[in-house]
Amino acid sequence: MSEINEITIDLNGEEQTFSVKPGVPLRDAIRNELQMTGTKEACEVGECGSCMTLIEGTPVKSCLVPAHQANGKEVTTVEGLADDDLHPVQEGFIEEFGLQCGYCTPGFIISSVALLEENPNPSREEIKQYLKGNLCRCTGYTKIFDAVEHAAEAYDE
Amino acid sequence: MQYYQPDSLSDAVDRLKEADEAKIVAGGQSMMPLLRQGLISPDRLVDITNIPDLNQVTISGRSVEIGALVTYSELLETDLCTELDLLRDAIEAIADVPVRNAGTIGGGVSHADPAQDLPPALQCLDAQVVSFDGKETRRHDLTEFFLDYYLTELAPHEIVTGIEFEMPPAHSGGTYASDTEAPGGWSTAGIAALIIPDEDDGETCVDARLAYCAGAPVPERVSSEIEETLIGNRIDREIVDEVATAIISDLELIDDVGDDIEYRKHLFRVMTKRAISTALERSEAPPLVEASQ
Repeated sequence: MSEINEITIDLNGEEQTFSVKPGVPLRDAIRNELQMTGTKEACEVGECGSCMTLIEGTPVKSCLVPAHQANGKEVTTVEGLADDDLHPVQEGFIEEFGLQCGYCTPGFIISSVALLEENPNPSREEIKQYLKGNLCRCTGYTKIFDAVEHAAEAYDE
Repeated sequence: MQYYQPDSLSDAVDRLKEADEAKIVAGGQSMMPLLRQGLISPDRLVDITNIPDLNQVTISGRSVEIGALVTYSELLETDLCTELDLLRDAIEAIADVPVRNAGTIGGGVSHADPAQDLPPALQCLDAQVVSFDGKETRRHDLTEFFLDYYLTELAPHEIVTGIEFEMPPAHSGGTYASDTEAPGGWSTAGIAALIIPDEDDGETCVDARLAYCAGAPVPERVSSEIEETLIGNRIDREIVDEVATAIISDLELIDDVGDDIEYRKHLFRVMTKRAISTALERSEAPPLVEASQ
């Protein structure tokens, strides 16, 4: 197999083909090549979860995944969650005031969507464990956990 | 930098050999921070995630083979982790869900970070690392595989293809106990324990295996002299205290921005007692008692 310089990803339902340098993380490709800035950058080393992204529905920290590994795959960012209405998790964060500065919010929302797709009725402890990979430095976590529980009620309906 | 995604092991080895300085990338969870921080600057990345057959877990009788590309999350979903508390506990201690979704078992052992949670559990299982260098398949005892910080027995072009071990007896008990400064952070003291009681009398310890991480430049199996303290008797609190004290003197701890040496010793003492006690509870031996008179 030859050297790879160009990749194609299905980003939020739209196929995108573009060049990306080797070793560039998926997060930078999304933000810089595709101009989708909902996926945030912060810690750079996979600790904070601000860049959480779904690859084929699985949450990963996109600063730690080489962009080339998303070649041919479905990638979902926070921009891809709402259609005409907001996603129930987005509604939950609004209803429960699950944010202050909001920088970590896209990552939390992506993780929460993945959790509820996997387990629509999680316990408080299961929510805490699942969201361990996301850090918030201003809200604290109580309102965020409340938001996920709020969204879970919508999943139940 | 060049990026290759070979679709066979032999092609991957060739790509590694023909570059001046090439690095393998799999899940990316260790490689990407190193690249990002400029700690390494390879001229080629060889992405092995498209190589077939490295993402299987095969159980044949008591023999277990885990492909190098199996992610921690995939491994957690297997019956293996339902049956083996030791393995499950160690994997659940690794970072968080998204890291476990991408991180691979082969990548973890190849990276050889001394604070990784899984190697001590695998060392207690007498696991072997399987590798391929383009010509032959080699097997390395995991107790000897790690040479120093981030350094293993692997040659520069050698690829880890999997991990192999034998299931311990069903009446044994195991666990991994660790402490971390923050949820999802690196372990500051981690110890794995596997206790095998006598199958007939149900309480005499006939085999005991202990291994730790974050206590030395490499994940280490505890010396056989210390493990033997647990063997031949019913394990009581006095014996556990003796083992915990002996392990402390075995460690090569360093002061760093996280914790000082004395605090780390305290953590190892607590984690050792916790690991042996839990392993015992999970075995068919009776739980821990005070020292016999």
